[in-house]
Amino acid sequence: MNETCAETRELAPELALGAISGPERARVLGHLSSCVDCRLFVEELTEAADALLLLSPDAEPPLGFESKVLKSMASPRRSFRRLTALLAAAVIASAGTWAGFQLTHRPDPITKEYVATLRALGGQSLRAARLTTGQTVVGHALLYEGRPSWIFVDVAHAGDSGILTINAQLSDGSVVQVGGVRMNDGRGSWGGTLSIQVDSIDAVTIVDASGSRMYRAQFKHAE
Amino acid sequence: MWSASEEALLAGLAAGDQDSAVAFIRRFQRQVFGLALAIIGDAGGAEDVAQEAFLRAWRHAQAYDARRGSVAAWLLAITRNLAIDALRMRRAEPIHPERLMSMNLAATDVAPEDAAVASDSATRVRAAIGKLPENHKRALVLAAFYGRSAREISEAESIPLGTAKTRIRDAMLKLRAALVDEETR
Ligand SMILES: [Zn+2]
Repeated sequence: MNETCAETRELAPELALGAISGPERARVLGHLSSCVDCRLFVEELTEAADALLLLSPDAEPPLGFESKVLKSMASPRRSFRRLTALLAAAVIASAGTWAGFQLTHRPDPITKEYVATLRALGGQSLRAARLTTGQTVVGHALLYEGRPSWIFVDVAHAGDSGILTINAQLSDGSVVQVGGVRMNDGRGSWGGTLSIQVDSIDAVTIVDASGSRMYRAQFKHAE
Repeated sequence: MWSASEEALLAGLAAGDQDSAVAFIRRFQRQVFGLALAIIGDAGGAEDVAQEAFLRAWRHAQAYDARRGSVAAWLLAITRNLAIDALRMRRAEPIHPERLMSMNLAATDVAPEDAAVASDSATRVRAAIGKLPENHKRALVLAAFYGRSAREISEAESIPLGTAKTRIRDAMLKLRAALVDEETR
Protein backbone atom coordinates (compact mmCIF):
# COMPACT_ATOMS: atom_id res chain seq x y z
CA MET A 1 0.00 0.00 0.00
CA ASN A 2 1.66 3.21 -1.16
CA GLU A 3 0.55 6.78 -1.61
CA THR A 4 -1.24 6.03 -4.88
CA CYS A 5 -3.08 3.16 -3.21
CA ALA A 6 -4.20 5.52 -0.46
CA GLU A 7 -5.51 8.02 -2.99
CA THR A 8 -7.24 5.26 -4.94
CA ARG A 9 -8.99 3.96 -1.81
CA GLU A 10 -10.07 7.50 -1.10
CA LEU A 11 -11.68 7.87 -4.53
CA ALA A 12 -12.87 4.26 -4.96
CA PRO A 13 -16.39 4.77 -3.53
CA GLU A 14 -17.09 7.62 -5.95
CA LEU A 15 -15.62 5.60 -8.81
CA ALA A 16 -17.83 2.62 -8.00
CA LEU A 17 -20.87 4.89 -7.96
CA GLY A 18 -19.96 6.43 -11.29
CA ALA A 19 -19.78 9.84 -9.63
CA ILE A 20 -16.20 10.92 -10.26
CA SER A 21 -14.61 13.61 -12.42
CA GLY A 22 -12.73 12.75 -15.62
CA PRO A 23 -9.15 13.45 -14.51
CA GLU A 24 -9.60 11.66 -11.19
CA ARG A 25 -11.21 8.76 -12.96
CA ALA A 26 -8.31 8.46 -15.36
CA ARG A 27 -5.80 8.56 -12.52
CA VAL A 28 -7.59 5.86 -10.53
CA LEU A 29 -8.11 3.59 -13.53
CA GLY A 30 -4.44 3.94 -14.37
CA HIS A 31 -3.51 2.71 -10.93
CA LEU A 32 -6.04 -0.13 -11.02
CA SER A 33 -4.45 -1.56 -14.12
CA SER A 34 -1.34 -2.33 -12.10
CA CYS A 35 -2.62 -2.91 -8.54
CA VAL A 36 -4.54 -6.11 -7.80
CA ASP A 37 -5.45 -5.16 -4.23
CA CYS A 38 -7.00 -1.86 -5.20
CA ARG A 39 -8.79 -3.52 -8.09
CA LEU A 40 -10.36 -6.05 -5.76
CA PHE A 41 -11.37 -3.24 -3.41
CA VAL A 42 -13.06 -1.33 -6.23
CA GLU A 43 -14.78 -4.50 -7.44
CA GLU A 44 -16.29 -5.05 -4.01
CA LEU A 45 -17.50 -1.47 -3.91
CA THR A 46 -18.94 -1.83 -7.39
CA GLU A 47 -20.86 -4.88 -6.21
CA ALA A 48 -22.25 -2.76 -3.41
CA ALA A 49 -23.26 -0.04 -5.88
CA ASP A 50 -24.96 -2.68 -8.07
CA ALA A 51 -26.79 -4.08 -5.06
CA LEU A 52 -28.05 -0.60 -4.30
CA LEU A 53 -29.59 -0.16 -7.75
CA LEU A 54 -31.21 -3.58 -7.43
CA LEU A 55 -32.98 -2.38 -4.31
CA SER A 56 -34.86 0.35 -6.12
CA PRO A 57 -38.62 -0.19 -6.06
CA ASP A 58 -40.33 -1.97 -8.96
CA ALA A 59 -43.16 -0.30 -10.83
CA GLU A 60 -45.55 -1.43 -13.54
CA PRO A 61 -44.81 0.37 -16.82
CA PRO A 62 -47.71 1.95 -18.74
CA LEU A 63 -49.87 -0.26 -20.95
CA GLY A 64 -48.29 -0.94 -24.32
CA PHE A 65 -44.72 -0.50 -23.09
CA GLU A 66 -43.58 -3.90 -24.27
CA SER A 67 -44.84 -3.48 -27.82
CA LYS A 68 -43.37 0.02 -27.98
CA VAL A 69 -39.93 -1.32 -27.09
CA LEU A 70 -40.22 -4.18 -29.57
CA LYS A 71 -41.30 -1.79 -32.27
CA SER A 72 -38.38 0.55 -31.71
CA MET A 73 -36.00 -2.42 -31.81
CA ALA A 74 -37.36 -3.39 -35.20
CA SER A 75 -37.30 0.11 -36.65
CA PRO A 76 -34.58 0.40 -39.31
CA ARG A 77 -34.53 4.16 -38.95
CA ARG A 78 -33.35 3.90 -35.38
CA SER A 79 -30.82 1.19 -36.03
CA PHE A 80 -29.73 3.24 -38.96
CA ARG A 81 -28.84 6.28 -36.91
CA ARG A 82 -26.88 4.18 -34.49
CA LEU A 83 -25.01 2.32 -37.20
CA THR A 84 -24.14 5.43 -39.10
CA ALA A 85 -22.80 7.15 -36.01
CA LEU A 86 -20.59 4.17 -35.25
CA LEU A 87 -19.49 3.79 -38.77
CA ALA A 88 -18.77 7.44 -39.35
CA ALA A 89 -16.46 7.24 -36.35
CA ALA A 90 -14.73 4.19 -37.80
CA VAL A 91 -14.34 5.84 -41.18
CA ILE A 92 -12.96 9.02 -39.71
CA ALA A 93 -10.49 6.99 -37.70
CA SER A 94 -9.21 5.20 -40.78
CA ALA A 95 -6.55 6.63 -43.06
CA GLY A 96 -6.56 7.44 -46.76
CA THR A 97 -9.08 9.16 -48.97
CA TRP A 98 -10.41 5.82 -50.16
CA ALA A 99 -11.87 4.22 -47.11
CA GLY A 100 -14.30 1.65 -48.32
CA PHE A 101 -13.73 -1.47 -46.29
CA GLN A 102 -15.35 -4.49 -44.77
CA LEU A 103 -15.36 -3.58 -41.16
CA THR A 104 -14.93 -7.16 -40.06
CA HIS A 105 -11.27 -6.74 -40.98
CA ARG A 106 -10.69 -4.04 -38.43
CA PRO A 107 -10.65 -5.42 -34.90
CA ASP A 108 -10.66 -2.08 -33.03
CA PRO A 109 -13.31 -1.50 -30.33
CA ILE A 110 -15.60 0.59 -32.53
CA THR A 111 -15.56 -2.07 -35.17
CA LYS A 112 -16.18 -4.81 -32.65
CA GLU A 113 -19.25 -3.02 -31.44
CA TYR A 114 -20.30 -2.34 -34.97
CA VAL A 115 -19.90 -5.96 -36.02
CA ALA A 116 -21.97 -7.03 -33.03
CA THR A 117 -24.65 -4.57 -34.04
CA LEU A 118 -24.58 -5.71 -37.62
CA ARG A 119 -24.93 -9.30 -36.51
CA ALA A 120 -27.81 -8.35 -34.23
CA LEU A 121 -29.53 -6.70 -37.15
CA GLY A 122 -28.96 -9.64 -39.43
CA GLY A 123 -27.24 -7.50 -42.09
CA GLN A 124 -24.58 -8.81 -44.43
CA SER A 125 -22.28 -5.85 -44.77
CA LEU A 126 -21.86 -2.20 -44.08
CA ARG A 127 -19.43 -0.23 -46.19
CA ALA A 128 -18.28 3.31 -45.88
CA ALA A 129 -16.43 5.64 -48.19
CA ARG A 130 -15.39 9.23 -47.86
CA LEU A 131 -17.15 11.79 -49.98
CA THR A 132 -14.50 13.96 -51.61
CA THR A 133 -14.12 16.81 -54.00
CA GLY A 134 -10.61 16.83 -55.41
CA GLN A 135 -8.41 16.24 -52.38
CA THR A 136 -10.92 17.57 -49.87
CA VAL A 137 -13.02 15.25 -47.72
CA VAL A 138 -16.52 16.69 -47.32
CA GLY A 139 -18.34 13.81 -45.68
CA HIS A 140 -19.19 10.13 -45.80
CA ALA A 141 -21.42 7.76 -47.65
CA LEU A 142 -22.51 4.51 -46.05
CA LEU A 143 -24.07 1.49 -47.67
CA TYR A 144 -25.80 -1.14 -45.57
CA GLU A 145 -26.71 -4.46 -47.11
CA GLY A 146 -29.59 -6.16 -45.33
CA ARG A 147 -33.35 -6.25 -45.31
CA PRO A 148 -33.91 -3.55 -46.19
CA SER A 149 -30.63 -2.18 -47.54
CA TRP A 150 -29.89 1.45 -46.77
CA ILE A 151 -27.78 4.34 -47.88
CA PHE A 152 -26.74 7.24 -45.72
CA VAL A 153 -24.77 10.35 -46.65
CA ASP A 154 -23.41 13.06 -44.45
CA VAL A 155 -22.00 16.20 -46.08
CA ALA A 156 -20.38 19.31 -44.65
CA HIS A 157 -19.20 21.88 -47.17
CA ALA A 158 -19.41 25.59 -46.52
CA GLY A 159 -21.56 27.51 -48.94
CA ASP A 160 -23.73 24.62 -50.11
CA SER A 161 -27.47 25.17 -49.99
CA GLY A 162 -30.66 23.73 -51.40
CA ILE A 163 -31.29 20.11 -52.24
CA LEU A 164 -28.48 18.06 -53.80
CA THR A 165 -29.22 14.86 -55.70
CA ILE A 166 -27.67 11.58 -54.55
CA ASN A 167 -26.86 9.16 -57.35
CA ALA A 168 -25.52 5.62 -57.36
CA GLN A 169 -23.10 4.74 -60.12
CA LEU A 170 -23.50 1.06 -60.94
CA SER A 171 -21.01 -1.51 -62.17
CA ASP A 172 -22.72 -1.66 -65.57
CA GLY A 173 -22.07 2.06 -66.07
CA SER A 174 -25.61 3.25 -65.43
CA VAL A 175 -26.51 5.94 -62.92
CA VAL A 176 -29.54 5.72 -60.63
CA GLN A 177 -30.92 8.51 -58.48
CA VAL A 178 -31.32 7.18 -54.92
CA GLY A 179 -32.19 10.25 -52.89
CA GLY A 180 -31.56 13.88 -52.11
CA VAL A 181 -29.92 15.76 -49.29
CA ARG A 182 -31.03 19.18 -48.12
CA MET A 183 -28.10 21.43 -47.19
CA ASN A 184 -28.54 23.86 -44.33
CA ASP A 185 -25.67 26.23 -43.53
CA GLY A 186 -23.32 23.99 -45.45
CA ARG A 187 -24.39 20.80 -43.65
CA GLY A 188 -26.74 18.03 -44.54
CA SER A 189 -27.41 14.35 -44.11
CA TRP A 190 -29.86 11.96 -45.63
CA GLY A 191 -30.66 8.28 -45.32
CA GLY A 192 -33.10 6.01 -47.04
CA THR A 193 -33.75 2.47 -48.15
CA LEU A 194 -32.24 1.15 -51.37
CA SER A 195 -34.11 -0.89 -53.96
CA ILE A 196 -30.92 -1.74 -55.88
CA GLN A 197 -28.27 -4.32 -54.98
CA VAL A 198 -25.64 -2.83 -52.72
CA ASP A 199 -22.80 -4.79 -54.32
CA SER A 200 -23.71 -3.39 -57.72
CA ILE A 201 -22.78 0.11 -56.58
CA ASP A 202 -19.31 1.32 -57.63
CA ALA A 203 -19.62 4.87 -56.38
CA VAL A 204 -22.03 7.36 -54.86
CA THR A 205 -22.04 10.82 -56.36
CA ILE A 206 -23.75 14.00 -55.28
CA VAL A 207 -24.75 16.54 -57.91
CA ASP A 208 -26.29 19.99 -57.75
CA ALA A 209 -29.37 21.26 -59.61
CA SER A 210 -27.37 21.92 -62.79
CA GLY A 211 -26.29 18.28 -62.82
CA SER A 212 -22.60 18.94 -62.39
CA ARG A 213 -20.88 16.42 -60.15
CA MET A 214 -19.80 17.90 -56.87
CA TYR A 215 -18.80 15.03 -54.57
CA ARG A 216 -17.88 11.42 -55.01
CA ALA A 217 -17.54 8.43 -52.71
CA GLN A 218 -15.77 5.51 -54.34
CA PHE A 219 -16.82 2.08 -53.08
CA LYS A 220 -14.98 -0.08 -55.57
CA HIS A 221 -11.67 0.58 -57.28
CA ALA A 222 -11.81 0.66 -61.03
CA GLU A 223 -10.60 -2.74 -62.23
CA MET B 1 -24.32 -17.03 -8.75
CA TRP B 2 -26.93 -15.59 -11.15
CA SER B 3 -29.39 -17.69 -13.08
CA ALA B 4 -28.14 -18.70 -16.50
CA SER B 5 -31.48 -17.92 -18.04
CA GLU B 6 -30.91 -14.16 -17.82
CA GLU B 7 -27.76 -14.52 -19.85
CA ALA B 8 -29.47 -16.82 -22.32
CA LEU B 9 -32.18 -14.21 -22.75
CA LEU B 10 -29.58 -11.56 -23.33
CA ALA B 11 -27.81 -13.71 -25.91
CA GLY B 12 -31.13 -14.22 -27.68
CA LEU B 13 -31.71 -10.50 -27.58
CA ALA B 14 -28.30 -9.89 -29.13
CA ALA B 15 -29.04 -12.38 -31.88
CA GLY B 16 -32.21 -10.49 -32.73
CA ASP B 17 -34.51 -13.26 -31.60
CA GLN B 18 -38.00 -11.85 -31.13
CA ASP B 19 -39.09 -14.37 -28.48
CA SER B 20 -36.00 -13.66 -26.41
CA ALA B 21 -36.62 -9.96 -26.74
CA VAL B 22 -40.18 -10.35 -25.45
CA ALA B 23 -39.05 -12.55 -22.57
CA PHE B 24 -36.20 -10.18 -21.76
CA ILE B 25 -38.49 -7.15 -21.64
CA ARG B 26 -41.08 -8.97 -19.52
CA ARG B 27 -38.42 -10.16 -17.13
CA PHE B 28 -36.95 -6.75 -16.42
CA GLN B 29 -39.49 -4.07 -17.33
CA ARG B 30 -40.82 -3.57 -13.81
CA GLN B 31 -37.33 -3.12 -12.40
CA VAL B 32 -36.18 -0.85 -15.23
CA PHE B 33 -39.31 1.29 -15.22
CA GLY B 34 -39.32 1.36 -11.41
CA LEU B 35 -35.77 2.69 -11.24
CA ALA B 36 -36.40 5.24 -13.99
CA LEU B 37 -39.57 6.41 -12.22
CA ALA B 38 -37.80 6.68 -8.88
CA ILE B 39 -35.09 8.89 -10.38
CA ILE B 40 -37.13 10.93 -12.87
CA GLY B 41 -40.37 11.22 -10.93
CA ASP B 42 -42.91 11.29 -13.76
CA ALA B 43 -44.29 8.33 -15.67
CA GLY B 44 -43.87 9.85 -19.13
CA GLY B 45 -40.19 10.65 -18.67
CA ALA B 46 -39.62 7.30 -16.98
CA GLU B 47 -41.21 5.45 -19.89
CA ASP B 48 -38.91 7.16 -22.38
CA VAL B 49 -35.88 6.32 -20.28
CA ALA B 50 -36.97 2.70 -19.78
CA GLN B 51 -37.60 2.26 -23.48
CA GLU B 52 -34.19 3.69 -24.34
CA ALA B 53 -32.55 1.46 -21.72
CA PHE B 54 -33.92 -1.67 -23.38
CA LEU B 55 -32.75 -0.41 -26.74
CA ARG B 56 -29.26 0.20 -25.41
CA ALA B 57 -29.21 -3.25 -23.87
CA TRP B 58 -30.22 -4.71 -27.18
CA ARG B 59 -27.57 -2.74 -29.04
CA HIS B 60 -24.82 -3.53 -26.62
CA ALA B 61 -25.88 -6.98 -25.52
CA GLN B 62 -22.66 -8.48 -26.83
CA ALA B 63 -20.60 -6.05 -24.82
CA TYR B 64 -22.12 -7.41 -21.60
CA ASP B 65 -19.46 -9.11 -19.51
CA ALA B 66 -20.80 -11.71 -17.08
CA ARG B 67 -17.74 -11.33 -14.85
CA ARG B 68 -18.73 -7.79 -14.08
CA GLY B 69 -22.10 -8.47 -12.50
CA SER B 70 -25.58 -9.74 -13.18
CA VAL B 71 -27.60 -8.86 -16.25
CA ALA B 72 -30.05 -7.02 -14.01
CA ALA B 73 -27.28 -4.89 -12.49
CA TRP B 74 -25.92 -4.12 -15.94
CA LEU B 75 -29.35 -3.17 -17.27
CA LEU B 76 -30.13 -1.05 -14.21
CA ALA B 77 -26.80 0.78 -14.53
CA ILE B 78 -27.74 1.63 -18.12
CA THR B 79 -31.15 2.81 -16.90
CA ARG B 80 -29.64 4.92 -14.15
CA ASN B 81 -27.24 6.64 -16.54
CA LEU B 82 -30.01 7.43 -19.03
CA ALA B 83 -32.25 8.75 -16.26
CA ILE B 84 -29.45 10.99 -15.01
CA ASP B 85 -28.87 12.31 -18.54
CA ALA B 86 -32.58 13.00 -18.91
CA LEU B 87 -32.67 14.81 -15.55
CA ARG B 88 -29.64 16.92 -16.40
CA MET B 89 -31.33 18.04 -19.58
CA ARG B 90 -34.24 19.32 -17.52
CA ARG B 91 -31.78 21.24 -15.37
CA ALA B 92 -34.47 23.58 -14.06
CA GLU B 93 -36.29 20.95 -12.05
CA PRO B 94 -34.91 20.18 -8.61
CA ILE B 95 -34.25 16.54 -7.82
CA HIS B 96 -36.01 14.69 -5.05
CA PRO B 97 -33.82 12.15 -3.29
CA GLU B 98 -36.51 11.97 -0.60
CA ARG B 99 -38.60 9.92 -2.96
CA LEU B 100 -36.03 7.13 -2.99
CA MET B 101 -35.14 7.55 0.64
CA SER B 102 -38.73 7.35 1.82
CA MET B 103 -39.31 4.22 -0.22
CA ASN B 104 -36.56 2.75 1.88
CA LEU B 105 -35.12 1.19 -1.25
CA ALA B 106 -37.64 -1.58 -0.96
CA ALA B 107 -37.16 -4.26 -3.57
CA THR B 108 -40.26 -6.25 -4.40
CA ASP B 109 -41.23 -9.04 -6.75
CA VAL B 110 -37.89 -10.72 -7.14
CA ALA B 111 -38.09 -13.55 -9.68
CA PRO B 112 -38.43 -16.83 -7.73
CA GLU B 113 -35.20 -18.33 -9.12
CA ASP B 114 -33.27 -15.27 -7.97
CA ALA B 115 -35.02 -14.96 -4.66
CA ALA B 116 -32.63 -17.11 -2.66
CA VAL B 117 -29.62 -15.11 -3.80
CA ALA B 118 -31.23 -11.70 -4.01
CA SER B 119 -33.09 -11.73 -0.76
CA ASP B 120 -29.96 -12.54 1.16
CA SER B 121 -27.73 -9.80 -0.22
CA ALA B 122 -30.66 -7.44 -0.58
CA THR B 123 -31.65 -7.93 3.04
CA ARG B 124 -28.11 -7.29 4.18
CA VAL B 125 -27.63 -4.22 2.02
CA ARG B 126 -31.01 -2.83 3.05
CA ALA B 127 -30.18 -3.43 6.68
CA ALA B 128 -26.85 -1.65 6.24
CA ILE B 129 -28.60 1.31 4.61
CA GLY B 130 -31.13 1.37 7.42
CA LYS B 131 -28.36 1.85 9.96
CA LEU B 132 -26.80 4.82 8.14
CA PRO B 133 -27.23 8.31 9.58
CA GLU B 134 -29.86 10.19 7.57
CA ASN B 135 -27.39 12.62 5.99
CA HIS B 136 -25.07 9.78 4.94
CA LYS B 137 -28.00 7.99 3.36
CA ARG B 138 -28.91 11.14 1.53
CA ALA B 139 -25.38 11.60 0.16
CA LEU B 140 -25.36 7.95 -0.89
CA VAL B 141 -28.67 8.25 -2.74
CA LEU B 142 -27.54 11.45 -4.45
CA ALA B 143 -24.35 9.78 -5.67
CA ALA B 144 -25.70 6.30 -6.45
CA PHE B 145 -29.00 7.20 -8.10
CA TYR B 146 -28.43 10.76 -9.31
CA GLY B 147 -24.77 10.49 -10.29
CA ARG B 148 -23.86 13.51 -8.20
CA SER B 149 -20.16 13.95 -7.48
CA ALA B 150 -18.95 14.78 -4.00
CA ARG B 151 -18.42 18.35 -5.18
CA GLU B 152 -21.98 18.68 -6.44
CA ILE B 153 -23.32 17.21 -3.23
CA SER B 154 -21.27 19.60 -1.13
CA GLU B 155 -22.69 22.53 -3.08
CA ALA B 156 -26.28 21.28 -3.06
CA GLU B 157 -26.21 20.47 0.66
CA SER B 158 -24.05 23.44 1.65
CA ILE B 159 -21.46 21.24 3.35
CA PRO B 160 -17.66 21.18 2.96
CA LEU B 161 -16.33 18.97 0.15
CA GLY B 162 -14.48 16.79 2.65
CA THR B 163 -17.71 16.14 4.53
CA ALA B 164 -19.53 15.10 1.37
CA LYS B 165 -16.68 12.73 0.48
CA THR B 166 -16.66 11.24 3.96
CA ARG B 167 -20.41 10.63 3.91
CA ILE B 168 -20.26 8.84 0.57
CA ARG B 169 -17.20 6.83 1.57
CA ASP B 170 -18.53 5.76 4.96
CA ALA B 171 -21.83 4.71 3.46
CA MET B 172 -20.19 2.70 0.68
CA LEU B 173 -17.74 1.03 3.02
CA LYS B 174 -20.62 -0.12 5.21
CA LEU B 175 -22.49 -1.57 2.22
CA ARG B 176 -19.32 -3.30 1.09
CA ALA B 177 -18.79 -4.72 4.55
CA ALA B 178 -22.35 -6.07 4.54
CA LEU B 179 -21.71 -7.89 1.25
CA VAL B 180 -18.18 -9.09 1.99
CA ASP B 181 -19.43 -10.40 5.31
CA GLU B 182 -21.99 -12.47 3.48
CA GLU B 183 -19.39 -13.99 1.15
CA THR B 184 -17.04 -15.04 3.92
CA ARG B 185 -19.70 -16.48 6.14
ZN1 LIG C 1 -3.15 0.11 -5.03
